[in-house]
Amino acid sequence: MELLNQEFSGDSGASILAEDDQKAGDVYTFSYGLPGFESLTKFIVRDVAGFTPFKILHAHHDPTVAFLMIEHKKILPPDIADQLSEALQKSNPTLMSNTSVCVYSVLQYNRGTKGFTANLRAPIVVDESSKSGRQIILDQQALPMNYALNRK
Amino acid sequence: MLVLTRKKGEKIQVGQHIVITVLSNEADQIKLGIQAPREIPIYREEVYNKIRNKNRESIMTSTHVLENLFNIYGKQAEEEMVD
Repeated sequence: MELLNQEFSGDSGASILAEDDQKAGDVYTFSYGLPGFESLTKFIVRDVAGFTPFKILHAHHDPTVAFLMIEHKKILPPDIADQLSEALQKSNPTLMSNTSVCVYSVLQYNRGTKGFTANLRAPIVVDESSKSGRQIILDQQALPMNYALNRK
Repeated sequence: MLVLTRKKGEKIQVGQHIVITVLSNEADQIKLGIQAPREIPIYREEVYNKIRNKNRESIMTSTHVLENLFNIYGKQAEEEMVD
């Protein structure tokens, strides 16, 4: 907890990242931005101290825009992971054949019993080699937008 | 908004690389075929809007998100969630 408090500071509506951390990490180009944030085309992927499967995606030029993400392979049962992989492969075969690609799901914290949920219908795909990324919308109702991220 | 009238089989050229073809027009549904470079994202508007709204809801607005992450999953999250 101490680590988290040291690394992230701020109140609602302000940056949750300490000023030094806003520039840390590689910058990835999202040519089309993200849905809802189309004007933001530069993002940084950061680790969450102590929580390896989790990452933070934050806008390079707008520190108030940050998302918690997780590698989808870390959370999904094999059948859903396969379904997601197939859908991604079908929609973007060239991109997904690249071995330097990482696929993340955006998480949302829901007050109440739900805890964290993952949006499996619009994964974030990041290409380490080209330093580029995009959010791919998979038009498949079977992939939930609120997949409950429960502890095993 | 530019308004164009097209018949079945006719096309609309958008820029150099995008062609929209009217495939059919039955009852209250129009079927369109879109040829575009694969890197250009094309979505039904309502699907795109759902994801846009979801992204806006998912923004981390405070450290409470990370505190909840810690509280729910704890330090052992990594071991429990991998494999």
